[in-house]
Amino acid sequence: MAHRNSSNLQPFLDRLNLRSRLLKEEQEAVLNLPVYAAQVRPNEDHVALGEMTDHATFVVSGVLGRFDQNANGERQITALHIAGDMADLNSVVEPRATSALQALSTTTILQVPHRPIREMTARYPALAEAFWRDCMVDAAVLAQWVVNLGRRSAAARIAHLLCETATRCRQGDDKQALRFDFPLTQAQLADATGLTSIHVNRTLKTLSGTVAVAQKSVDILDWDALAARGDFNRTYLQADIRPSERLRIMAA
Amino acid sequence: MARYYFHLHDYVDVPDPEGQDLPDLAAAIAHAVQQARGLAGELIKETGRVVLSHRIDIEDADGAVLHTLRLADALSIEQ
Repeated sequence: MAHRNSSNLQPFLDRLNLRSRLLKEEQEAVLNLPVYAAQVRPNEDHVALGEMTDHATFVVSGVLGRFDQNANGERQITALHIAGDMADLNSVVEPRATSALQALSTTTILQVPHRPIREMTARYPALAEAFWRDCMVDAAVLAQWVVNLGRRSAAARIAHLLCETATRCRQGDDKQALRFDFPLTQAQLADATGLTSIHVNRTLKTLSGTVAVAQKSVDILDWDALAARGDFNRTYLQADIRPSERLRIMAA
Repeated sequence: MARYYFHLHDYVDVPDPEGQDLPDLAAAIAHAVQQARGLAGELIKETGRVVLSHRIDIEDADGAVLHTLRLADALSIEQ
């Protein structure tokens, strides 16, 4: 904790630059935000349900799961936040956590205090616009997860999630990662896809010709087959927008 | 707490490489029942077919079978 190194936010700026047009001064403001590094142990809640937070959480490495739960305490994973994600940018405008953030493996994060983010966006409205745009991608991902739970078979749910993660690992690129870190247990994968862990295990076996899921990583053996199985179309991720398509609605 | 492994035997054998930490065998059986119901439900939805003799073997870390749960044991089916 309490280790400050602002240039660590370069991957966050790179992410914003993918979809939004920012001036040099605005980009420098992002890089100059104060950050506090921390490590979260596996299965530890970094942000508890209902907690008031005073910082946003940037994932440097590892995976954070967004959780919600029913009255019996049974959890459902509602999002996965991987390296390069600002997991709860929305907390800047709603500090009471409406869902928990838990580390699914040892995860290194940067805490970015809300106050300087608010001061920065008040000064540079185009940054608020860029944040808003990126939060829309989070909403698009969530919509796809709803379709997964409601309208896709077990094999399609898992194939879709793996294709999505492969694409998100390579933002800014028209390719996807064919091998990536994926430190989820089968029980966690079950919590993300609304299946039982035994069914996840069984489904992974039926997908074994197209993808190999080991304890810590995923190897995609046949991308086209996996994408077809998962009913996956990458457009909603807005991961490969051309520079000319980057938006800036607000005036400088 | 002890670690229990839930190996599925249906059309294929699906070993459980991770296992699950649970307080005792009764909790492990209750877990297997939930697993079996979830699996049967999805299989019925996707294929319209479930084989009641397919089973989950609950094993300990040494590979000893502590309990066998057939899908039929987890479901109540009325005509």
